Amino acid sequence: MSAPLISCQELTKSYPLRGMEIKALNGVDLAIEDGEMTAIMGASGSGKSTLMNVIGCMDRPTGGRYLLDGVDVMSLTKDELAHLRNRKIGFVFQRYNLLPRMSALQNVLLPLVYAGVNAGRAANRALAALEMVGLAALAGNQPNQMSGGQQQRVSIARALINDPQVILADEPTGALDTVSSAEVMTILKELHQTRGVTLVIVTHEADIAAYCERMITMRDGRITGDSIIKGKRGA
Amino acid sequence: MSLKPKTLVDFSFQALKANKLRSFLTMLGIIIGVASVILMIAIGQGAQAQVMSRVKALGSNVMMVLPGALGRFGAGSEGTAQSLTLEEASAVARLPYVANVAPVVRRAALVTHGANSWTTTITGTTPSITAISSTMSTVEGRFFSPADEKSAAPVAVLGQTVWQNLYPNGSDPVGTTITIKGVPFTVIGLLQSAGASMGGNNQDDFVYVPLKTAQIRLFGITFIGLMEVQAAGQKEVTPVINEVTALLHRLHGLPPGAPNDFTVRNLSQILSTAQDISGMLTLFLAGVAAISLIVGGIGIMNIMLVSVSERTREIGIRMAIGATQRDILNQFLTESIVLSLTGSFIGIVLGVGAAVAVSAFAHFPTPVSSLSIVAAVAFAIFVGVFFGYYPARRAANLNPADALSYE
Ligand SMILES: Nc1ncnc2c1ncn2[C@@H]1O[C@H](COP(=O)(O)OP(=O)(O)OP(=O)(O)O)[C@@H](O)[C@H]1O
Ligand SMILES: [Mg+2]
Repeated sequence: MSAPLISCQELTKSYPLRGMEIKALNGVDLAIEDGEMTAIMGASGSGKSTLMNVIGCMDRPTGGRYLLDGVDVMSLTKDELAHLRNRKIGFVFQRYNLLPRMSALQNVLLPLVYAGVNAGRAANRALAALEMVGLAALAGNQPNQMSGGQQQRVSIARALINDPQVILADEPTGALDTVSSAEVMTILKELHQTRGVTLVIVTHEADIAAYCERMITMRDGRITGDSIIKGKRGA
Repeated sequence: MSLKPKTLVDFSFQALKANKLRSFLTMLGIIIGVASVILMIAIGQGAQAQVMSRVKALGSNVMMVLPGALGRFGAGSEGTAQSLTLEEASAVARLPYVANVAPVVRRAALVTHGANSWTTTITGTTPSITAISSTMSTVEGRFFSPADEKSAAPVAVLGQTVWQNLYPNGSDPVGTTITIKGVPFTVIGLLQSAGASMGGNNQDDFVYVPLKTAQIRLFGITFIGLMEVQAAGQKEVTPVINEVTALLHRLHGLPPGAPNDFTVRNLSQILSTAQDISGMLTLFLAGVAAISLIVGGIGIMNIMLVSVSERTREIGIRMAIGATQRDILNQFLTESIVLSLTGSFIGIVLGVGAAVAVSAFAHFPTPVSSLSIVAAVAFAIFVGVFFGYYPARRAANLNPADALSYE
């Protein structure tokens, strides 16, 4: 068995708060293999988003070790982290986080702009990504001209544009109705099955977690449960 | 790998368009600053150019002797008294250190050529005026000679304005006949343009005739209006003033200690002072205008700081999808440079337009120097970078996770 794609050992993250320390992560040990589809559940404030930020190289842990694809992330510079986010990681957020006043197409191709891909090729790839989420027809629409579900699909297109190894989705259906939630989860699942993208999905809803193969539960900054709920790559 | 300049400029225009009114108001400081720098320098240089052209037209180390005592308005003026004569001018010319003396008579008169007529100033003087004033040279024909003067020949030399009005088709006036107060004159020369003088006096609106001709054929007088006296050098100006004053005092038969019935004015000195003052004025005006540019820069910094905090989430998103610190820094820096550059281009248009308007409506030359435009733009870029750097740096130093969760 090869080394895991994501490997956390004794991860801690604390925030100072009025002279005290809040331990958002309090010793997290976690290994996620390449190609897994994992759900993270847990009460509000249990540290799920904090863990996602660390895994996504958006924040540095206070202590412990984190290896992404065998690379010790703590030793990288800020520029190297930016590069890593650009190439290896895709993000999907609860609030979509598309840039306003930019069309769906422009939003989707933005990671390619930062990757230095030339404009023509970037536009083609962005269009293909929008096609993949079924929104090629809305390529020219700005976020405020789309429904929440559509915006979330655009943000998935943006997350997958650079062919990342892992997509991190923090409550991707948190703001959506059941129909849109199902659409979004179907797309993520399909990505996982056809391209083998590793998926980590934070959710509060059991039926969303049910799309996944593995479920991790967190409490007070620790992992308290870790179970396989389905055989790998679905049954 | 960092973003291409074109991409950065695209981002900037996207952001600035999203907040058009605010962007415009932010630029206003730069617009006003640049426009006023250009206009103020143009006005200052216009004033300097006028002084310079007056100095050139007048000649160096020149003083003017006018009839009449130092009056209520500071000096005597031509025509208020009749106390100067041609003989006195000759006596002055014989004084040591006097290089040239030009006696002058001036009267307004109607001049006609064919069907065209024009009221202008007739100046009767001697050929020595050409030695004093460097602008007194002809582009067509010749100036009148001592022989013309001696014989009171009916010959005339035209200034550019007079020529343009009497010869609207632009034909060569030399050899043609004009009438001055009904008296026929042969045109023997056309002067080069001397340019406008201070106060908008047109120095080209003159007809020059020999002094004797003016006295006998036109005005029927024996006195002269004034004399221009040129000293041999700068050091000699003061001694010459003293000598001339003493000589005329004696020739006028005034008792010692009695007030003079004439005035000697040191024009060169007045003009060189005016030159210094107009130079200082230019600097002063440009300085005040430059301060408004700095104020404009502070406006940019203020708005960029607001913009960075308003767009913290956007910064977080961009970082999440791979923007480096340098990308974010460059993005905001470009935005403030685009603001100040766009502002300065609008400012250039306004400033140049205002300068043209001033010269058209106030009849005051306002030459816009390309140097002032270059300086204004360079300063605007400097302002953009200087005042944009701090907010941009702040944006770039944000922690991605914190920026993204910013409310
Ligand atoms: N930037 C911060 N500064 C201070 N404390 C923070 C910060 N971010 C998170 N925390 C604290 O860390 C703890 C974990 O927060 P986190 O956002 O990871 O929880 P979560 O599991 O994602 O909760 P939710 O389900 O509500 O999203 C919380 O107690 C929170 O208050
Ligand atoms: Mg959370």
